[in-house]
Amino acid sequence: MYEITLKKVRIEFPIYDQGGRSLRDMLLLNPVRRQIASTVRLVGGEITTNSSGNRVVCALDGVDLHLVDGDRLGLIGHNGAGKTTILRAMAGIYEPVAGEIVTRGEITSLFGMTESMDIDATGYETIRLRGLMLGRSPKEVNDTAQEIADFTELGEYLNMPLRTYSAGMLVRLAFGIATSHQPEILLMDEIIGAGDASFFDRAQARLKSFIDAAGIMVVATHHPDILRRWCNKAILLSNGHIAAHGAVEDVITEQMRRVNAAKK
Amino acid sequence: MLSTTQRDRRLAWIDLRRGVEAWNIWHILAMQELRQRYRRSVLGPLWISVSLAVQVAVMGFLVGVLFKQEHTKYLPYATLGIILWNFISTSLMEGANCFVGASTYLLQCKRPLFAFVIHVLWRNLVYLAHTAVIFVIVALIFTVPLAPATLLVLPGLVLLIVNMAWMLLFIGVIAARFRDVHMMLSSSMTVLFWVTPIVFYPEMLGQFRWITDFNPLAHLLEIVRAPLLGQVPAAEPWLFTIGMAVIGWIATFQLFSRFRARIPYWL
Repeated sequence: MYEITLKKVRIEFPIYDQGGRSLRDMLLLNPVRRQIASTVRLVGGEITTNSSGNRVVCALDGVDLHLVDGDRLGLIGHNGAGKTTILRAMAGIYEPVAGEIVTRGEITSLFGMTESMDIDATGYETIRLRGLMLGRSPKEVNDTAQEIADFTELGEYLNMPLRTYSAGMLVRLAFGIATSHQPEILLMDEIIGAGDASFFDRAQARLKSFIDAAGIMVVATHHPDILRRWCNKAILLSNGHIAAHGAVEDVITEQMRRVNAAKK
Repeated sequence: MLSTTQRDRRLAWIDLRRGVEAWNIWHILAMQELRQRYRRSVLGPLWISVSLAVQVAVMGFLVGVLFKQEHTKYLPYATLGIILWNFISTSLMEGANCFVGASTYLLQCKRPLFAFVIHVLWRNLVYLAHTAVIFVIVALIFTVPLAPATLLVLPGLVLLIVNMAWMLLFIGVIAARFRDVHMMLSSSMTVLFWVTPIVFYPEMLGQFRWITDFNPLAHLLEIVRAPLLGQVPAAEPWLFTIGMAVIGWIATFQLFSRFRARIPYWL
């Protein structure tokens, strides 16, 4: 029985300009720098002052959400609306300053996968490193390595450093690794993409069985088609608030209405 | 500002425990980095030993001549000093980067923060093992005696590691928030090198001996170095380092309980 529950969740980011992060400015309180700090603006979250007097961006505020087995939630909203923040909060990375988050089930998060890849490591080392860091046993890792090798069709290249890979081959590897383990709760920032035409169909099939196997899936996206294809409910985020919540088509319509209203 | 609730302390404790257990993070990452750094080099990790050997040969010899020391006794002493100092200073400086450098991992999924402190410590211990070889060679050349006292190196090392762990965690938390800490540490290392008895004996300071008596790093050095030279360290460095471990961990635990949840926001 898997579950994600958010109750009145509020998440604030402290704003540190370059000066604000240094001890010098903390001690000298340079007024010019303070002024510059106060002009920082991010798209999205409201900029306020918290109880200790620090400037903060309020990335999420009063977010209530309850997800159970079988839920396929799509998150949409403008840049900075809080999509990535809510995913990271669900993953337990950001602990809320107010409210509560309860999750049951092992969380697989598929964001930032490629950022930490080492281009000098071989494909096999990468598979192994990923697997072990996710807490798998060396035996499990070896079993998956075989399966990933078959799926990616990289063959001998798995013994070569990633710097010798083409962009498409890297995508194959990243995709293969990402989808090699059956998730309980799956969190994604955009649907992971997939290589050339011949690979595309197999990738789609694998992605489908991967997502179908998940107890709960949450995906943040800018594409209505992805919502229609993979999700059974959706949330529209706006400035850190839930602006609309419900069936996929209704939420997409609401977003369209807002975009059109903004144009006028 | 440092008020913590019971929940904060409980979660901090869980993080520390899971961090220690997460060998799959700290060990794997450290080994991967070691492989990565020496990939495509002929000597590989042997470079760690070679560069230290050069440092010891030049520095140990020259300073020995300057201080008019007898090489048989002085070189093993200075070699250990330099080896241990390299371990301590590099760990402290890299400790400032333990969370910041791991931000891609920490923002990807929930992982125990303390694992990334151990990661830095463990990597430097592996380096220490490579440099310790140089001492073994020096000890064989100058026939440093193996005595029952040599065994005291084990508790000495444990105390050193326990102390380093809290210092690295402390520095890591502060440095995640204030990015100057790394620079501050790098520039203090030269000063610390000269106020710590690494290439000189505390007695040489004469009336200024108190400089080393109040230097925590001097005591940490002593409890590992003295046994390896076949001497029993006095009671003072033991008490000093044990007290330091207790007080240091209490203070660091308080700091960590208070700010643990904030660290991902600072990255």
